[in-house]
Amino acid sequence: MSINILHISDLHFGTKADSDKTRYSESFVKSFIESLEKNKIDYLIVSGDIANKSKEKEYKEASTFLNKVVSDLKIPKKNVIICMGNHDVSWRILEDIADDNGAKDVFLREEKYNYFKSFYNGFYYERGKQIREFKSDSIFVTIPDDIHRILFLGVNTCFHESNLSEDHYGFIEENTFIKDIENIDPKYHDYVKCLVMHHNPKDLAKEAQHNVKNWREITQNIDFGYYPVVVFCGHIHSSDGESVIKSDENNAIHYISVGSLLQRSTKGKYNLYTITDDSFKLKIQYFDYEEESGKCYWQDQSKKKSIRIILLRKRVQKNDALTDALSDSAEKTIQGIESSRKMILNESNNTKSPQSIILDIIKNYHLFYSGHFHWDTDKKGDNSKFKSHGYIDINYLVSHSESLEAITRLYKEKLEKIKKEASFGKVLMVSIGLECNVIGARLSVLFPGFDYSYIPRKREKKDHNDVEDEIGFSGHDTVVLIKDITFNAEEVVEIIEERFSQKSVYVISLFYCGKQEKKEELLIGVENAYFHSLIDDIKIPQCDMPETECPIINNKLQTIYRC
Amino acid sequence: MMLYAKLIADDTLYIFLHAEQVYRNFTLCDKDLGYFNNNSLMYSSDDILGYSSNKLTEDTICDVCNYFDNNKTPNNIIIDCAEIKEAHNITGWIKKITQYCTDHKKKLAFCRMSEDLYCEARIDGYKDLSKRHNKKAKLYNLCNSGCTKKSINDDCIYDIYKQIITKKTKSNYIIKRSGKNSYSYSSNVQLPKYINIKAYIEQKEIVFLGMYLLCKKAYNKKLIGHGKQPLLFFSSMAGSYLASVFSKLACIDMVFLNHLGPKKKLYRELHKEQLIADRDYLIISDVVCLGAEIERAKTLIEYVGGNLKGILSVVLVDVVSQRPIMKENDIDKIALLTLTKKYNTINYQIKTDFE
Repeated sequence: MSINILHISDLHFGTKADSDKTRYSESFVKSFIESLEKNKIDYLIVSGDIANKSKEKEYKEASTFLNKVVSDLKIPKKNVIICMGNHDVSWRILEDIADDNGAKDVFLREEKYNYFKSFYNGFYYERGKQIREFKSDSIFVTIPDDIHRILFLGVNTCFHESNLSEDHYGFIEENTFIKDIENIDPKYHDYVKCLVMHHNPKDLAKEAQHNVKNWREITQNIDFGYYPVVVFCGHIHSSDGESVIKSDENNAIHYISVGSLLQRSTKGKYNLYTITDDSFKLKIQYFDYEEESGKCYWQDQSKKKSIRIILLRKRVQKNDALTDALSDSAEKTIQGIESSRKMILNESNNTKSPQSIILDIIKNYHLFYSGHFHWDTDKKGDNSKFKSHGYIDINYLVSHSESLEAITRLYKEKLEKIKKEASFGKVLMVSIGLECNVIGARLSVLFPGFDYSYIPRKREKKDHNDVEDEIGFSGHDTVVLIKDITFNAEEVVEIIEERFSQKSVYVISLFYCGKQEKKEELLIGVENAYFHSLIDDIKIPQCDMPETECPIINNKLQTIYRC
Repeated sequence: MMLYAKLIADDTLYIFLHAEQVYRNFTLCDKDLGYFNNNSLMYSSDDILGYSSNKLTEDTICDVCNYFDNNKTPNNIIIDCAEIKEAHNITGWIKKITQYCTDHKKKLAFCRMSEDLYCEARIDGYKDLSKRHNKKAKLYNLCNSGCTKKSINDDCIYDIYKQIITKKTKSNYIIKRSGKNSYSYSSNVQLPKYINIKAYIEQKEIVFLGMYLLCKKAYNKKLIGHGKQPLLFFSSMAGSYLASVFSKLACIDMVFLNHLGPKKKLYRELHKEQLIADRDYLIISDVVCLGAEIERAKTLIEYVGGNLKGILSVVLVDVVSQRPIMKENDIDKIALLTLTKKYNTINYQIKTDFE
């Protein structure tokens, strides 16, 4: 199940004197809750500045509001993260302390949180139980979500805040923060860390006082264990996001801020985050409260924002050859396959070409399967024409827009290149198989001057209506065949000989997984036929052993799949 | 350069600028949106403009103008500007098109031009027919010599397309079958007239506009483009083509299982977990006849915890109007051509051993 996280901030509940500065009203709250009712909200983040001047009356109203929100939207209080903001620091208390004791290091006084603490403890007191107690530690709360492997960490950035102007900046007490991160239970090592804080550490507002002043030092000295890290913050009354890539694309910190929900000086804002059920994407929706000619409504402004999706992690791999019990005789084979697998997935370290993107997706989402695969339905068992010990999940690649876009781009570039080099007459483009038809459909739009058709794979022909095997065109000089994975091109050769002899045929395969030295020979026996592949990096060993000897089958390892 | 979405009927050429633009946007993703950059994993599928695009680019305008230069056109030309809010150099291209029409004595109408575009166009010498129509609809018919008094709206376009596709189905897409050859591949009935959607797909000028209109219908019914986007499910070869184009227009992801039906096996056990719980689904198919495959897909979707929101097809044969899946009001059924007992323009037949 996917989860939804509601992020609000900077509520600035004030007194009567501030009533013109807030849009807080019954109708607003109703509109806010109604806009969210269709979503199941699993977590609520409130990133600080709950009150305007850290006064008791302000917190009373804040409490009423927040209790209504969690009640109406059915959010369990244990899933609510509230952090303090600079406005939650009580200047009055600090001024009194300064009068009595002097102003030196007044920011260190815990009393500055007193009113916030009362509010906090009161909010988290439910049915006779104190669900959570206020702490002013650098990491004041840790909430794991074991299903999605997310770890929410509430961070106190108000360590240095006080009533003195020179203390107005975000700051995290570094020693305890680093220690707390390092002491996180090892079982959360590969959890995505979602830091919730008030001040904006990325300097989106580009003013020092909005920063977390020592953020750079902290992130240089700390290892969060698993990346990416996501930071949810407020303070600057603006909603947007920014990503910072550190050494490679996985080592990133993403900063997402949300504007003020209630302050009249800007449009009311909230963010809604959805983490997909396979836990690899965090989708961000930014909402603004529009007030136009008496009409008020919440508008999704996501299209105007810099970041709308963050990739969190890889798809959870269900099967792993190495976790299966191994016998001695099989271990060698499995080790061989595993080392082949590691060798196979060469990642490009250069700028991100579409090839690199596709290879990254295969690697990150575990789209390469080890196992014993029979690809030929006509011949079963030992007579099976083609068996391999690996498979690439083309189904996934063409189902998802990110990878499909990269694939389409690759085909387009290759086709344009071939078109320039060769003389194309009247062109017919034909996709082989269902997955290739998805790719081919996109290409048929990009190359509207080409005629387009599709045929089923030979091994699947008998499962299709005979009409689907017919092509309603004739008279073409050039044929382009779209293929997904090629090992030895036997199927393609048969198709060319049956249907397209006397034509110039260009075969473009997304992957060539056979032996590289054999690539030039694939279509050698076919006149006027040319083979092109887009990605050669992944090599899949064929299984040339009889079934009775194949260790994968014998030891019931991994996926044993027969068409 | 061909046009993606034009209709020719009754000596009138209809050009749908929005459809032309969204298809040309298929190529925009990489260079104009900074899609492939060093932060390659940070992109969003929502970045692809799709149906929600509303800006007419110079490429599209050039191609439309070039079409006139290179093709013989009917006497009447209607340019539908619906969904377009901005246009690059609008005065320039309107001038060019009107010049062409004047030179070749064609009658020209622009319709459904937004108020902003109309103001920016600053066209002189055109008769504004908008006063005859409901101004709230922001309908602007500009006509240089009063060629058309028809008001163009979505229903009108769907009707014209339906007439064309009916005609094409009768002449090109129907395969007559008898005896053993007439048995349906997906269910146990005889289909003396088999609707070959592959032939429809092979006619680009028809299928591209068809997918655009299907997308428009889905958008107007709020199946796409509003709130959480659904997943698009398909399970056949023809469905894969239709889904691929539709998914790009609608900016939604796809899910598919290779073949699903009473007489076909599921190929990919590996992909049985592709279906995701707690998501809305749309099923897209070529021809929905008895609905057996749709019902199986629906069962599968609901079994994993998804919600079926709509069924999209090129042809919908409403065989049994009281069939449960057809009655469910929260599942929208959208088709480009719907055949019923009363409206069976192609004389479609389904036979069993029983009457």
